[in-house]
Amino acid sequence: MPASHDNDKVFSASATPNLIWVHEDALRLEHPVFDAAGEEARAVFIWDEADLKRRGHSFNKLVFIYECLQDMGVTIEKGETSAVLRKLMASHQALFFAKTFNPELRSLITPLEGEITMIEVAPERLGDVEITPEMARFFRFWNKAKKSILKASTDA
Amino acid sequence: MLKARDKSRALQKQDVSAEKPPLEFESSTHDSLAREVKELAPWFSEADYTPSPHRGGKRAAEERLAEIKPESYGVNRNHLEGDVTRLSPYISRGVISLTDVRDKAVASGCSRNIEKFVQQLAWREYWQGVLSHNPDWIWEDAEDYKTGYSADFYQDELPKDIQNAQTGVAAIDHFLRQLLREGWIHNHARLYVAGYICHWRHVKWQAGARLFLNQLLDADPASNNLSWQWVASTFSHKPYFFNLENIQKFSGDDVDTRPETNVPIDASYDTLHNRLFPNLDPRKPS
Repeated sequence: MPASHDNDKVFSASATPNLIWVHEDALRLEHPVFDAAGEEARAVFIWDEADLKRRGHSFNKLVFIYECLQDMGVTIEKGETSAVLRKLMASHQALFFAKTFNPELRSLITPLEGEITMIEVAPERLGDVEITPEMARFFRFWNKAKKSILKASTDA
Repeated sequence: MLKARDKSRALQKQDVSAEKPPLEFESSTHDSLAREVKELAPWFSEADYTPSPHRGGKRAAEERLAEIKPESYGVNRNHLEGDVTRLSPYISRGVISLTDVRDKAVASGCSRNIEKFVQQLAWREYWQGVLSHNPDWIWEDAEDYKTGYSADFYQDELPKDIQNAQTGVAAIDHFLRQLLREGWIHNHARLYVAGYICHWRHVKWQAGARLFLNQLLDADPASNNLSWQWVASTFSHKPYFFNLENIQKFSGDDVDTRPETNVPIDASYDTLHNRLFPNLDPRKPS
């Protein structure tokens, strides 16, 4: 299992830079994963043709993702995701990536678990109430969480 | 926010150890980008080659964010021509954060309608939280169907006429064509399409969910698949269905809602309930 971003300080002080795996669920430079990985970190998106075909992305979606990547200015590497990352990690310290709730996307780096240091960084949250198994319907969650969710970041 | 120097760092050409050099962006226009993607994705035919009107990137997201009307959204969001934000592709792909959108809405005022707007944002985090406790629910039925049928009754594959937006139900075909062309349809249209696929055509929700995941720019397995389960009744206490009158109420002139071109959905709720779910207790048509 990857470490949480609470451990990021350990990996940002070294001379060897970290690597950021940019994926389709976190296409912005303001995502906390960039700060967590440190200023020297390199960011890369893997154009994994076999995976994109397997998951059946429409052409429109690929254009949308590609345009977001152009806007970000990150490098694109072609190839099988885990193989490309494994190769790049030879000259990097830890692999940082934005948390995704898409298990198919997450599974692309499963082969690297135990091989390299992987650090998952969650996005900003709306509120501070954790969703529990008992909240089987939305309004049980909303009634507890709305006070913190309706508070703007600048008020926090 | 990242500082400018951070972005310049990301823009640096990188000396990586992969054998092939990294790809470089060659143009900035939408059509040129589409041509570049065509080269990167040669498995698509020319027929697929119609870029969506939804532009990718931060600037496009910020322009759309500047135009949101959270106050009127709370009033007319169920109308297909209502003041919905169309921000979902940017939120799902992480181009902007939920907190960016929440902050913009809250800054515009404090009212019941603003709360309604923010509540819709919270659904996304809710679905993700539910799925983190129940990861199997992404493709497995959370509960039994409440339709009077078992899961075995439903077919696994999505029929070709649905894939090609040629069902013969004019309103449904309109929404499917928009889905295939743009990669985005209004949430209410998603419910109509999902209800039609599950309850008129008796297709498993998983097949419909896969269609949406493939086509929607904002595809998010948590909210998409659990919403399909809600429509199917495997994550709710009853199936979601609709009738033509409901589409007529919430759609604009661009949708063909004539009774003669929408025969299967043109009936009262009671009649449709008895027709679609004959094994449940019948309702008396009013």
